[in-house]
Amino acid sequence: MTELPRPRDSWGTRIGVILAVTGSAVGLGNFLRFPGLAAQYEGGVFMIPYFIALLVLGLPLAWAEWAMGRYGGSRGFNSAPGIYRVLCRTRLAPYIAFPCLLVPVGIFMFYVLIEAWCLGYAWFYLTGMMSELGEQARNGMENGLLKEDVYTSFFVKFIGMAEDGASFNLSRTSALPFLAICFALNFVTIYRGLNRGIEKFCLWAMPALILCAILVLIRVLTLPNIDAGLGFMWNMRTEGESFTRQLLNGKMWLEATGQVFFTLSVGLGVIITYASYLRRDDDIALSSLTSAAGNEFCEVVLGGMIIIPAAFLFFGFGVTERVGSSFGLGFITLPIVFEQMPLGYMAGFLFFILLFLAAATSTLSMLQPAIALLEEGLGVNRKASVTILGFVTLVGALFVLYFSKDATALATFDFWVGIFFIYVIAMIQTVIFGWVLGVDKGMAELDRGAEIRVPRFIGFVLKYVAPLYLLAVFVFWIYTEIRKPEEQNTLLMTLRNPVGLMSVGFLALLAVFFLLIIAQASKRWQQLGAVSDAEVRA
Amino acid sequence: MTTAWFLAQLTAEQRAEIENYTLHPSGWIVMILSIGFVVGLLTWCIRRVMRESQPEKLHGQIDVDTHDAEP
Repeated sequence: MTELPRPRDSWGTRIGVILAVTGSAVGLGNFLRFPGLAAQYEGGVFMIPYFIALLVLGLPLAWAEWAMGRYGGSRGFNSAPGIYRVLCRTRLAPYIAFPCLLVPVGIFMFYVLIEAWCLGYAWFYLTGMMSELGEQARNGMENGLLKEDVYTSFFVKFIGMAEDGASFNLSRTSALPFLAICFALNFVTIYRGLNRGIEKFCLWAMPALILCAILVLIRVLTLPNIDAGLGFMWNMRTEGESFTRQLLNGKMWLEATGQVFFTLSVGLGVIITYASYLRRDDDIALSSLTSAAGNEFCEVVLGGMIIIPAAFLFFGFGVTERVGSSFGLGFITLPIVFEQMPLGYMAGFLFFILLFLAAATSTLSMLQPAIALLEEGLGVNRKASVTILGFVTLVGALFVLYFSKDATALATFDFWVGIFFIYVIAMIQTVIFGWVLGVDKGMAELDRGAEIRVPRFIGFVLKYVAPLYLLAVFVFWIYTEIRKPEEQNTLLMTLRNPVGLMSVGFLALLAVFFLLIIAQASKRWQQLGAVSDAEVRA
Repeated sequence: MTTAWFLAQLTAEQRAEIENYTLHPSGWIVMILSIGFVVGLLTWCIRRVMRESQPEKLHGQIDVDTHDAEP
């Protein structure tokens, strides 16, 4: 058996893998996007398509990705191009895997900024800057309400939305020092490796995140009249005919499916890499289900009980107008809520620390797929691969930070690598699992070492239902994007706005960079005989 | 900071909206089912993971068959 000459990393404990995958999945979407969507779609009604999508699409896709990852890992490959090569047995297959590198690295470039904003807000709560802001807002009170403009202009200034390059300053409210801290944290952790870095970090960060969330939850649930807030979040606000109409709302099904899909981190290229570091007979069926359940706990239980119930108490039904933008909800609406809440500064600090930890455990996972490719594709050691990736992501993050006017670069990156290519990866992976590897072989892989028996109909779901379901959601998403008014249309913005065009160009360059590395890696694997050996074992 | 202070930040209309609103039976059902399902699933998974992660039974000398008695 020919092993690729490189250091092979591995997980230390099973709990570590589960927490790392859960940490990768838990992000800002759990605490901001999910409750916002639930509030937007009549509270309780939203949960029906949400749970159906979880059971029909989310869990099967996660199982498939874990199975394919371990299949490739047990044949000597940890990177998505290597794993695709083993699964598809064609020379072109590694090239199809380029989105598995483009997506996590592209997302890292803007998500690390958001992580820095969360850390920044936590710091501002700790150092009393938010209380100064509260004082200003109280001085400008109108009709008994805090002056919201104070919070909006603070956020706009902090992220440099007013003009390009506005973030490049070293004032008291600059995001740059927080970005430097987040970058250092990510790269020091990833440099320490899978076991001593990512796993160790997640082993304390995930419990700390849950503790912060529970403390904030206690604060929210002990607010006077909280049952009104919970009612707004969970009541089925429509009855009879209008309930049926709401339940048949296609957009709600689309949003619920998209939320499930993004929250579990399937199609991101991370799970396939993480699972490849497992041993051949390690359980994946139960581990995958536990990670998904951990993510759902953070989303439904913690995310669903904190921000919307609290915000409703301060804004009444007006809160529905505020849930459309996760950033507006998180960085403008919530600070107003915390300002008016007894013990609000402490709750605000804990909430932004929890968002920071959620973002940090996610960004850490986004670097591993590219590290794996650089190590096994070019044969470089961890130090060199971390340095190369550090340079590439720093350039990308500075690009997004510089072109901060109206957050155009961030929105364009999010549109292409945060949504479009995730659908593409998920569709490719369901086809590979169901049609190339084959359901029988795929389910046998899932069963090896399994501590629970995955129901047989999951094979049918993965072969027929999931690809069609995904395709339908993808087509519907494209259709709604095209029909959006000009000012909200990211596709048009990409084509007409120079920053949008440059952002797409940057992502295209990044894609070329990964394709060149894949080409080099393919040659190397062929020369070393690693591919033919893996094919024999397949 | 007291509760009265915090309520004073709301307009009269908002206060009325909130005071007249409550968690309906349908809301209770959806909330309990959603949270119950997720908490139940996570608890079941963690119990299974913990049970399966126990170290395998160590065999004492009495369990080891040395085949001494065989001819």
